[in-house]
Amino acid sequence: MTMSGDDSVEAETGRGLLRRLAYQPSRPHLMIGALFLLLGLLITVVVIAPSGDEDEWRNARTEDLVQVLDDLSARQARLEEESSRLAELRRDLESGSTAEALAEARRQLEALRVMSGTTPVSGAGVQITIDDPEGQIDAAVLINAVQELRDAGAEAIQVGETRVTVDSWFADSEEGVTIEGTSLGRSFDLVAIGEPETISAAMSIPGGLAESVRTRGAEFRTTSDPNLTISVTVPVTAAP
Amino acid sequence: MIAIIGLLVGVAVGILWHPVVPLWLEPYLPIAIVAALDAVFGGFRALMQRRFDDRIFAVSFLSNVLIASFLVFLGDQLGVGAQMSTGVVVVLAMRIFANAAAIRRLLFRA
Repeated sequence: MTMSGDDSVEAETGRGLLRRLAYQPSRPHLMIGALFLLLGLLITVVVIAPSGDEDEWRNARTEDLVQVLDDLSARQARLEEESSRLAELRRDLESGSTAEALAEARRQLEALRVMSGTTPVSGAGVQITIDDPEGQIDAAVLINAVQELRDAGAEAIQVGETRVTVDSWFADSEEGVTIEGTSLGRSFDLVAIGEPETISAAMSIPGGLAESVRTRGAEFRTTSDPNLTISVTVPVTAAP
Repeated sequence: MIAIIGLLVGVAVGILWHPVVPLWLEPYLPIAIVAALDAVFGGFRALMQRRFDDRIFAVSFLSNVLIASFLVFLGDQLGVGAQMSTGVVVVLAMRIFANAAAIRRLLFRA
């Protein structure tokens, strides 16, 4: 920017010039007018161009579009897979005998029973022991533990002598953590039925349960067992 | 005066005629507008400093638009189109602000 010192003088003449130009147009102004016409046209075109939904992609770049397309085809493949699975199930249910429908209903019932904790579960799983001599483990850690076990695909979980279901709760008390009112003491035994490798891996990832327990000065052990049984059940209650 | 009339006529024509811009040209329009605005502010500043020349204005207007569009085109070909557009817009916006500051000083002495 090269600003001269005599700005004030220029400003006077500048304003006079403006006034003169406004009232006495000359020939070169036509060209300038034409250029401004072009500018106005451009602005209008850009401003009013986006109309309709398909124009959303009009200004997108090639690589963005490729990315969007990839996402969409991956999603479509997933949805198609699920669609064909469901269609097959529907065909089986419609054309097949009542026995088949019954089997499917039983299968669902079994899954729901496992989830609600009204039936004993056995299978491969993981036993987790947390020794906490200093009392550093609170309810939040155990809630986190249950959450991580569920995320890792555990079908059924037992903490101490209590089956964990959808409405289980943990609380901090004077004697330590309690589950549904039962004190758990200074040592926690968790049993989870589910893919043992997946669960063990999920527990030992950086920042996972094992690490957060150990940073609190407690001991964390897991044992995989191909034959675990959770025999504790919760009583069946009628729907409200 | 003619400039303002031209601008208004351009807007009116754009609204009434509703031109269809070819698809390949579309990404360059916003850049072209910013480049043209840069030329307009530069020209206005020159006018205030009594150094305005209509030929220089016309040439700078058109070359600004063409160079800015070319840079974006080049960026697209190199695979850095988005960054190039941003860069061009930032540089032009800085020039517009600098010119606007100069105009403000000349016009209002502030």
